[in-house]
Amino acid sequence: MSLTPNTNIAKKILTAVSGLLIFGFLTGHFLGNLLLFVGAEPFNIYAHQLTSNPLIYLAELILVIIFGSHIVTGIQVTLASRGARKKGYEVRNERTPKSWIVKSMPYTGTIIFLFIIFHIISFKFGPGFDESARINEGMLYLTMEGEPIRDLYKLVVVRFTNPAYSIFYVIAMISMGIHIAHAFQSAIRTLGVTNKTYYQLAQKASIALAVVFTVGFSSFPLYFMVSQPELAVIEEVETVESEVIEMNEVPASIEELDVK
Amino acid sequence: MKLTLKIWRQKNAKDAGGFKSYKLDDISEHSSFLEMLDTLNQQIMNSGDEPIVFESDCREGICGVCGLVINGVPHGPGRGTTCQLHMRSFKDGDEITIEPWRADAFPIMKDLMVDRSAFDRIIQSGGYISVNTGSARDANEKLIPQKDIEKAFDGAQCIGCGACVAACKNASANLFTAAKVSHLVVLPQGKVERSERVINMVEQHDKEGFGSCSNQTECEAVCPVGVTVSNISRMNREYARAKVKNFFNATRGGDKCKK
Ligand code: HEM
Ligand code: FES
Repeated sequence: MSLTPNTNIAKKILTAVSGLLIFGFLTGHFLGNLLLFVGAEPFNIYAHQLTSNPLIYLAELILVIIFGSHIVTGIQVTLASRGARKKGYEVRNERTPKSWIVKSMPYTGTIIFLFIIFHIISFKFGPGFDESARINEGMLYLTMEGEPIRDLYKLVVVRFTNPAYSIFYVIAMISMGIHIAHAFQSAIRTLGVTNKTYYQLAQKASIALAVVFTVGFSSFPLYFMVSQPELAVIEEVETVESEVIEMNEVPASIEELDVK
Repeated sequence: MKLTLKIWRQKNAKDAGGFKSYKLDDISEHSSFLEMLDTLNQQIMNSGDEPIVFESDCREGICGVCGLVINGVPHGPGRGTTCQLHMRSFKDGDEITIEPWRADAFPIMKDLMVDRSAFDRIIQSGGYISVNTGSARDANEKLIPQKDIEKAFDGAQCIGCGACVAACKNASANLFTAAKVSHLVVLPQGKVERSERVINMVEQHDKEGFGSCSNQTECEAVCPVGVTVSNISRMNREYARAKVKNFFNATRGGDKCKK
């Protein structure tokens, strides 16, 4: 006897566990991103510390395993279910309200997956990923302590001040919200909660989590899209190499003086 | 009342089948749905055609064979079985579409009759206990807390009609299987075969080609006797427990599936 997930229930339990673990990732990612509202300095330093820590490779491996098992088992149970009724009904009348949310799980999941791929390409592997090309790409940031790091804050602003990009981002987040609205309480159920009171609580929590994560993650693109912060300066920096260092150095030293 | 019926006709398991329309002129609103079909069959036979095959036995909501999908809902607009449905649930002049249960694990044999022996095989794989429970008076020997009795009864009420499968978007028989697993596992007599029961029944469920559960709870909404989906959660829990337990037994070199 092994633990091989050879039945749909075993696979579903894996979908549920990995799904709940993804909430852990979402929470961490969201809290970190909140530094975008504080400013370039704290956000860039946070991002730098995160990506320069060698443990990041372990964390990335764990994330790939979590998302991978969620996607693989999710697709497996969906296909098993599709195959279970090859000829459908002429007339269909369902009693459960909002059943389209449940039925859209594989589709909202696919949108989230495509979004994640696009998101990683556009941020992680975007301009400034290659350390030696950072100056040329205008993606170098000098901290107050004079350390040259990747200017991810600027990349975020450049992306999100573009309305098309931001709207696409918000649509992906709404898809995630729809996924979560069913997902959380479904996982609680899959993992064996039989108590009606807890189940009703989980149902409310599911909606609450959907709203919090959708509104939370959408707030970043919407904020930058609406406020359009200092685009002029950023464009200038992008074009003139030598100015990158100057522009960042000058305010840094002034502020240093101020503090002292 | 006057009715137009759109009914699935299929000669045998291999026939492609199709819908046929019938008109009925004089149906009492007090007649049951199956009596209405009996009247229609009489009319069809009088004109020399083959009557529509549909199943019924007890006609009092107990045996569970009479399942039909009526206007897109298993067992139709009522809360009970098809045989408990009366024509007063419809309006004069209505068009009623009648289809068989649709699931690959329930092949259509003829017209509205499907083969539900997949359910029997799931029961055979583990839906029983092997301990001797004595004669009737011994039933009260072992005291069982009321809350456990209620949990057991929630599952035990299942009449095996298959409406859960018919309603589920995934044609899953999780509610049926869970009702049996739950019914037995919460009682002391059922604890003996606890692990092998749930593993064997869940594996048989998949082997029969039923789908997976998406927790939409449409099964609970159409169940004529009110089996709740919390049985499914209990089955999942039991299944996970049995798998982990067997795994550790195996790593210790023990027999699988021993208590
Ligand atoms: C990466 C792209 C994703 C894909 C392809 C995907 C796909 C799926 C699929 C197909 C299901 C099964 C639905 C069913 O049983 O009918 C599912 C369920 C679920 N998903 Fe996702 N999903 C993704 C992302 C996410 C995210 C970001 C979260 C967390 C917020 C999440 C949480 C869940 C949970 C908790 C379940 C419920 C498991 C259950 O039914 O017990 N998923 N997902
Ligand atoms: S005929 Fe027995 S339940 Fe309907």
